[in-house]
Amino acid sequence: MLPTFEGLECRLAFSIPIWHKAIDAKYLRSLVAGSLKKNLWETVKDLGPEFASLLRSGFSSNLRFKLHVLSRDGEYLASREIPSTHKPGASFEIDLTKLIAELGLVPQDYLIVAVMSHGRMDAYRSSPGSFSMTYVDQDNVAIYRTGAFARPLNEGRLKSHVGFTGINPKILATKDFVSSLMLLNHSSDPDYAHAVRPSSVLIREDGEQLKGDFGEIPPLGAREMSVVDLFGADVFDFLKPFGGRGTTVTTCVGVTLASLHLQRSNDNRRTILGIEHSRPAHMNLMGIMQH
Amino acid sequence: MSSDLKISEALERGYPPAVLYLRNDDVVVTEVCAFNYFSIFLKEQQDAEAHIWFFDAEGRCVNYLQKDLGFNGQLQLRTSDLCPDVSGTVAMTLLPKQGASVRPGKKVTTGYYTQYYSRCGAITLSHEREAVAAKPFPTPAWMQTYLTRFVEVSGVILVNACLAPDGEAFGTARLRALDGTVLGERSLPSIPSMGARRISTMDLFPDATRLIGSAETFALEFSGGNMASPFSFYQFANGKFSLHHF
Repeated sequence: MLPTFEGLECRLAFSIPIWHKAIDAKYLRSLVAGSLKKNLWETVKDLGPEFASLLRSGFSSNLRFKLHVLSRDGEYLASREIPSTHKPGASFEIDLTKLIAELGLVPQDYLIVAVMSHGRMDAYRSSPGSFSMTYVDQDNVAIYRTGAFARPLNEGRLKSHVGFTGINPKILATKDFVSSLMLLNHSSDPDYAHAVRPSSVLIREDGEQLKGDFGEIPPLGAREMSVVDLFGADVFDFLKPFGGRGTTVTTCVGVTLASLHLQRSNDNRRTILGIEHSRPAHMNLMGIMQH
Repeated sequence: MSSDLKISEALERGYPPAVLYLRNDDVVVTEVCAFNYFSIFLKEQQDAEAHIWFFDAEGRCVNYLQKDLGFNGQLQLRTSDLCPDVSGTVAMTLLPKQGASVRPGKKVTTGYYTQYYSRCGAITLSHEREAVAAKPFPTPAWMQTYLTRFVEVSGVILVNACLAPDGEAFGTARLRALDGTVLGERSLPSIPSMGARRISTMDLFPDATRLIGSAETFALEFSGGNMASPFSFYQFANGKFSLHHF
């Protein structure tokens, strides 16, 4: 799920690396290894849709793309299937702002669900590449890129999640800049129906904290909250002794969320100066021996 | 320059630092941002220490910083205070203070971010890229699209993430049309171990405008060895610098 912003030229791209193959030895090995950890019924449920899509594509390494447009509240609005196929070495690129107009939707913030004809559900359900979102403002370009992972997300029958912990040590609240967090309540299940209500704390260097309620995010919806929305206008004074800098830790039990960090200008335009997806910090600890 | 922890020791302990691009010059300054996530996820070992190495474009280690990060400790480090006028590579590792055993054959990589402040008032940011490698490694083909109308202010940043003395980064750049057609191909300049290069598209492919023609978008592809995944950039005439990992 990828956000668009009203008033910006929003473009989506996906470049298919030349090495991409729908099936190779490493992939088959990881499928066998993964299947040995599950019973037969789990394996069928997990891999059935993937093998079906591979069969339908004739095991082709070419990819097709389909885009769904959702409101920020997660309401389905429209779809567009891209008729052409894209081979390894090629790139898929589309102006989403034009697409939204072509679909007869009014200019406002939306979410795009980008679906590929098949992915790679190998060892880490890895992505064959990254979706690239480019936001062009009148005097700024901001881009982020994130993997197109073929993973079950918030899909109870396939995967249960302990919870989400998002850490953003890049928080700014100064006369020039205001940081935002955007959380996306995504799922691989089109019938996903679970609203979430994360909470955030803002921590400054001396350990003092402010607490904030992120508000409800509808299923398949998204919500952007600035640090002013979350912690009030006093956030500027709170962080001032530390150069306007701090860290947010945002948590939500029982679900996984996608998370974007935005840096906006602190003026009436609130220009998106920079945007980046967050990294799941607990993944950095996977190699540690737990006692 | 002496350091409390050598980068090779961090690798041996299973905590390889991860690399990012470092840029401190008249246009841009770099801030390194991190949080002691051990204090959230490892209840028994909540204190950590950050070790940061700074390399110039030729891969010479020009500075080093160690900082203790206690419970909920954080770091927003203006690197231009430590190494003004240095552009190259930054590498950072977060270690639990008491040391935590790493599973055999595993490594614990470090998550952190850099923010790049253009002096004209823009910010761009990136999370960490690959972990530093002790031995030479292959770099698979990485490809991303660029907007043709910005071709003359666009380019790529390549960071060498190999510590081995013979780990010069090398490779090939390809200019591709959206349908995958190779419009141009050339060898990349070699980059010394732990060094970095910022190269404009027009320096790589002086004929890019003609080769791309009327297409709205083009792609650049990079492959070779000892390079971390690349960064694309646009640097506009007003000094705004916009960087993004592939």
